[in-house]
Amino acid sequence: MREYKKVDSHILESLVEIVGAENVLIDDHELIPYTRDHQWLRYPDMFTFKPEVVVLPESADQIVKIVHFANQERTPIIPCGARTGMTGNCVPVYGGIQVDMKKMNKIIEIDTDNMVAVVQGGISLYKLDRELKKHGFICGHMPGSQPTATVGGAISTNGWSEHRMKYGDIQDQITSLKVVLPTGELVKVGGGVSGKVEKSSVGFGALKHLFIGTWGTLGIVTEATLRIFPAPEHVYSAAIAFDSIDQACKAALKMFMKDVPMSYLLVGDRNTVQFSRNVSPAYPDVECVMTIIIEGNREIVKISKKLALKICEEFGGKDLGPELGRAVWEEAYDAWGTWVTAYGPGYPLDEEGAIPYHRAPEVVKHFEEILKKYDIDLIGIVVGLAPQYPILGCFWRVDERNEKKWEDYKRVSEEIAEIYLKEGGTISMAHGLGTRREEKFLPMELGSSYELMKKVKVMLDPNNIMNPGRFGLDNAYKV
Amino acid sequence: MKSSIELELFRDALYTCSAASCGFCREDCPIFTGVRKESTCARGISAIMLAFLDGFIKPNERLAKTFNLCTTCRWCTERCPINIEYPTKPPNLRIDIPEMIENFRADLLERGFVPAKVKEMLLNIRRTYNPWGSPSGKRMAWSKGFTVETLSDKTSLEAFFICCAYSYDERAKEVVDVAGTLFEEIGIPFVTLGNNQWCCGDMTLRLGEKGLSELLAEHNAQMFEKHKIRSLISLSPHCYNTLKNDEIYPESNVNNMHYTQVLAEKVDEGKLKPSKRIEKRVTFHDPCYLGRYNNVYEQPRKILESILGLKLVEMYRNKKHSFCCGGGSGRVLTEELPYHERPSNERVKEAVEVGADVIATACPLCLIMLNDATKSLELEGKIIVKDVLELMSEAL
Repeated sequence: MREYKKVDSHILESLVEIVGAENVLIDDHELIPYTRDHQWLRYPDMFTFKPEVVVLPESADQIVKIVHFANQERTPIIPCGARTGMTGNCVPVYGGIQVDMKKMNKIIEIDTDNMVAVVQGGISLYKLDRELKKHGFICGHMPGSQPTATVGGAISTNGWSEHRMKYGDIQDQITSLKVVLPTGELVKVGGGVSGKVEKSSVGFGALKHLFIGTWGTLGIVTEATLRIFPAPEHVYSAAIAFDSIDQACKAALKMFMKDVPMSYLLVGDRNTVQFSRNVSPAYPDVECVMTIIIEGNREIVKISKKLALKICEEFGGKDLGPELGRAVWEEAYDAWGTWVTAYGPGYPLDEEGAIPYHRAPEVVKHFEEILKKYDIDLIGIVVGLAPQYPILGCFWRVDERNEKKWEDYKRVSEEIAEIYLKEGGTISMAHGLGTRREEKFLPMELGSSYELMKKVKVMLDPNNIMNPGRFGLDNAYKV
Repeated sequence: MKSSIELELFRDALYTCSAASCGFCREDCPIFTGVRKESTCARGISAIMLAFLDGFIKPNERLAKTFNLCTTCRWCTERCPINIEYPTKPPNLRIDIPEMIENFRADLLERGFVPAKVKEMLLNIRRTYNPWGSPSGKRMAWSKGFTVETLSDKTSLEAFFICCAYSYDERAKEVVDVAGTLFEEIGIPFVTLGNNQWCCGDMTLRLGEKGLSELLAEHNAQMFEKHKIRSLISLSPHCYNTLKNDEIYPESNVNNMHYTQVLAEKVDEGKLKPSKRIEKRVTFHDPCYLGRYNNVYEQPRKILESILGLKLVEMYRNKKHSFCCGGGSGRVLTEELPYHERPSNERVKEAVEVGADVIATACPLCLIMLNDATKSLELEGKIIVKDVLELMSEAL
């Protein structure tokens, strides 16, 4: 393991000089909230991952100085946004300086003519969306953490959007980035001269992707220019019951083939339905439920809705009525609160990956068999949100204070990961791989690109100070 | 040294919040919005509390200062998805950070950790029965030029409870004088307890000083009984909430109301008919202790909408989504944040954005905080802050 310099009084004084005393945090109670993100790390083990100091820079210039200094002192830097990642990748492994981006939360420009917004990395998707709505636009990136996640965090995690079938994910929306490299240079990548051009073939035209989904290991995103979308005139949502996941998946595939312009489609299995009924007894007792959202131009939504319902009916689908349909849309971000409480205090968890659509019914059965072997508090299994290789997610809840359940969870997690790989899919479409599974599964999925990943890391971060300890990348450095 | 047994009651809720760690409480938390540190939002606070329960954080002055930033506005409680209720939900899984923070403040206070300004305010209340530390004998000084009937030796069925802010803050004093005239004009005698009224105990409770709160409540309750008061109209939502809901006031047959509820009834009955026009764009700032704590949203709006010429415009964050002014929990007197981090500045900017000429409110603490913010933003003359009472009085 690489040796890093501990944060001492000299480092603290220098940080105070760069960002001001009010933006340097060293008290225990200030550091404790930085020992976790949304991921499940056993309490109180997570306190071993405390940063030594937290800084809140207010400008790219300050970040440049911090990074130069960290290189000089060989002290790790770990950038973070809202800390709603699911894999602990913004939690320091070796202590060091946590760079909290949340003070860099300005909207620099909303360009409605060119349909882009220029923002600082620490702005929340919620605040951005709220401001855009005043101009008749929306932010197209809508993860489950939208009420709080930051743009920079979404970029670093290559975040997943629930309405991705219409708007894409953040990776599709970025036109350009400004990034502070691990060696301290501030670079602009992508977007042509203005930074607003969606695509360019000049030079390494897609170089911006080097910083999307690299979890803050290759740089700190200070500014992003991203596409924005006209606010939909009309939103139609529906809950449709099917007799089996097989029928639901067939209906979904046909809707994709007929180009029904959905923004959201998710099929919940029998367990998901039963869970919903436990929470809300009025929820219908059916085998599985598909929820869809179609949004946009009023006339197009009207026609698309008719087509969608007609196709679903061909496969035995029954519309469960406007109330349930509306609940899909209006309660989208908050329903997960019931997962956290339904079985008593504990962590809500989901493992997700992607498998081919036609394999979904069988894989769901296979998952159910695995889950039954162990004492898992299951919430449900869902499939959807992509026209090919849909996400397949298992949601459950673990009380980590129960030793047996904790061990069971770890085994289930690995067995499920092996199935995703066997199906030719990915172990994670949304959340990423965290510290629990990366050592075993990362090389298995990435194959030869894993060595490429290491080369890129060493090239950009010769001192391994930018969020070290991730993805086994420390092994890329000769000690 | 672990914390007290009472705090253990919150363990399951704190563990659940920490386990979920969603952070939905963060955006629109009035303190986090300006300060931006993890320790200032409910998610961070609950992580700190859990660590404190298990001795991973030692009690200290700086911890007390961080805990004292919370305004107890209850936005986090409102927003928290864990607080969704359903029939089979296990008990004790409600995330109520204001309730928890009062208890943690009490714990730190007992150990001697309290920020200097808070200590000074609590001492003021102990000595003079009001947070301003002004002489208790001057509680009625605002009534110069207006005769109020005090209850020093009489009995009355209905009386007004006058927040200390109205007695001792120069801006708020302008409101209570107007209130007296208005209520008398519509046939409600403006009867008060005079200098015999003590602070209701809202601030002391929020800051964890339960003993002092009980002392204040005991005295006030004795006054209510002595004068056979059966109906109390509070001008401040904080007094209204404490008298109506806090346990220091035992259940009694006193009916507690906020003045907006009384005036709205009069509008409905046709007994309050403002005749003068006020040609202004007015936005109503929902006080947290009137709205989120007591679900009173429509009555102030009804009163304002009865004024001819007045155009009511809504801010984006309104009603149960109202953005706190930052004055609760005693912060109207203990605020130390720089102006650009203050919630009140943020709120005034929001009002300007909707083109309001006037920010109306129905709380003296909101009035003081927002008024102060208009000055720091150099917006005097461009936007003014008024109590609903003042606007109604101008329109009569």
